[in-house]
Amino acid sequence: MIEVEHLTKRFGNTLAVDDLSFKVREGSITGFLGPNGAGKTTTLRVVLGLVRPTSGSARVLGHPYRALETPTGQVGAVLEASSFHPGRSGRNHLRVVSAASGLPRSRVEEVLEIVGLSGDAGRRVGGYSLGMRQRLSLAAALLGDPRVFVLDEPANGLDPQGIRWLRELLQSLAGEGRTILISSHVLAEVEQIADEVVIIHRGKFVEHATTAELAARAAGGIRVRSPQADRLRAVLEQAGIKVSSADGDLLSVADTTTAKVGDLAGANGIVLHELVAETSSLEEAFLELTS
Amino acid sequence: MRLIAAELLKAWTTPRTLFGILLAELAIIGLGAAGTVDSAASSNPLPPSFEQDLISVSSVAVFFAVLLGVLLMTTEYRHGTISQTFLATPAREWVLGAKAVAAALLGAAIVVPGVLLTLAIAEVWVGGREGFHIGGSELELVVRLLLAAAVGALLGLSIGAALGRQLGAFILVLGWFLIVEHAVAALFPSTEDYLPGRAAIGGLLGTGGSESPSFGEALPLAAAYVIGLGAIAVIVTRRRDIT
Repeated sequence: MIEVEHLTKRFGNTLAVDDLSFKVREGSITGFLGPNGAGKTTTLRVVLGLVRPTSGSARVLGHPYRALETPTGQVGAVLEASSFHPGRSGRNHLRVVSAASGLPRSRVEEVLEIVGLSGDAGRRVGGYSLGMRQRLSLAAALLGDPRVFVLDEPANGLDPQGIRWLRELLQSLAGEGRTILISSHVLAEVEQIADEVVIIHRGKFVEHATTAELAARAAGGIRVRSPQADRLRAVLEQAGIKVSSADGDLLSVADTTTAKVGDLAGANGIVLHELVAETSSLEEAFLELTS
Repeated sequence: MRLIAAELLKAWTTPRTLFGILLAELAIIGLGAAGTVDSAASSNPLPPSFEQDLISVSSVAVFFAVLLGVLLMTTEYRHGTISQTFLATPAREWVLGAKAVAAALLGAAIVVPGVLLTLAIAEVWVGGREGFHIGGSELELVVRLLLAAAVGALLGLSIGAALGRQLGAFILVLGWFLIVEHAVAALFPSTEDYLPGRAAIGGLLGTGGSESPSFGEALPLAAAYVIGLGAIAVIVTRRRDIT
């Protein structure tokens, strides 16, 4: 659906993207993460044909973006929220995009309604808040009713209600089988909506995994509390399970499952007061991978 | 056609740019026309070249057409709307083609109010006087003005596209037409027949006197400038990274 292959982009002496490869699966929401300056925006702009790669390639729906016949009808994009003429109204901005894309004018009102800007559409964009500009960007992306969305920090400037609205919108689009590649620095948001995550750092590929896999991989192990902690420790170590730390009645156990620990304790008549798989957030995984 | 419609819609939906250009142009033309009429009004009948001199005042509109061409292109880069433009139409040469048509049309269009203003001033001042008559030669001059303004807008557009930066393009245009071209003509007189302002646009207007190129000579020269600068604009625009 979206394929990036051995992509390298150099701006003068600065290597922005370095031999980056990944694929975005059809019908998935893929988070595109990386610290500031990691090369996310450059990569997305190459995908959208706005920046020429130094080497490598990016394809959308099997073609370079520039080769798509009706790009607005196939790919919806949100780039930075400042790409508007401040003297043009929101409605007129969309009319221009609609005219250039050969879309019916009626579609403008439909997308204004979807993003909740109908009431402000006649105002000049110069008077819009950052959140309203983001909504207008999303409206432009929705104009052609595309199958693929490439969104660069779409939650920027949105208030909590707006973020919730965006989440529901993206989930609804994904529910219709559309493919979404979304870059964001709000990791909690990505964690809630993304099926998969691609992480890059300093222009290089770091990880591509499902959100659940990534969180699980960064998880801290199992916490088990027992009044018979010493005996439990001996049983676990005898079974080849590593006990990473012990503090009174509390043990931390790594590289196993809660089921196995529970079964061993039960089989040996050991009383447990607590048995918890310590979960980890995407943020922790991200920080671990990019530190 | 849809791309041309989109480009015209862009200009129409940011009327301050168009009206700003138009107001500045009309202010200068109004003053020039008033001066021309005032100096001719003391003669009775009016001087034989009065109508030609009057309409020639509107030739300043060609300069504003060049600035309009620059604005039509560089405003997109200045406000970042060029990203959305190239997302909708990734074939950048088509975007430039549509902008060229829109620039030529709008460049020619801003001549009309200037000419009408000069005629209105003359009508009010010396309307009933003997010898005031607009005929075929005046209409021919208006057509030449329209053509020169269209060429000027295309040159401005190409410069704007090649540079991408509004301020840089304005400095280049103002510097070239107001300073550099005069200096080049003074230092190297043999180049005078080939300069874009004096020879190409001046020849199209027929305002350069008997020594400037004829219309027939100026037309291919103007076409060469439009094609040459246009080709540079296309090459640079196709290669430019929109970051």
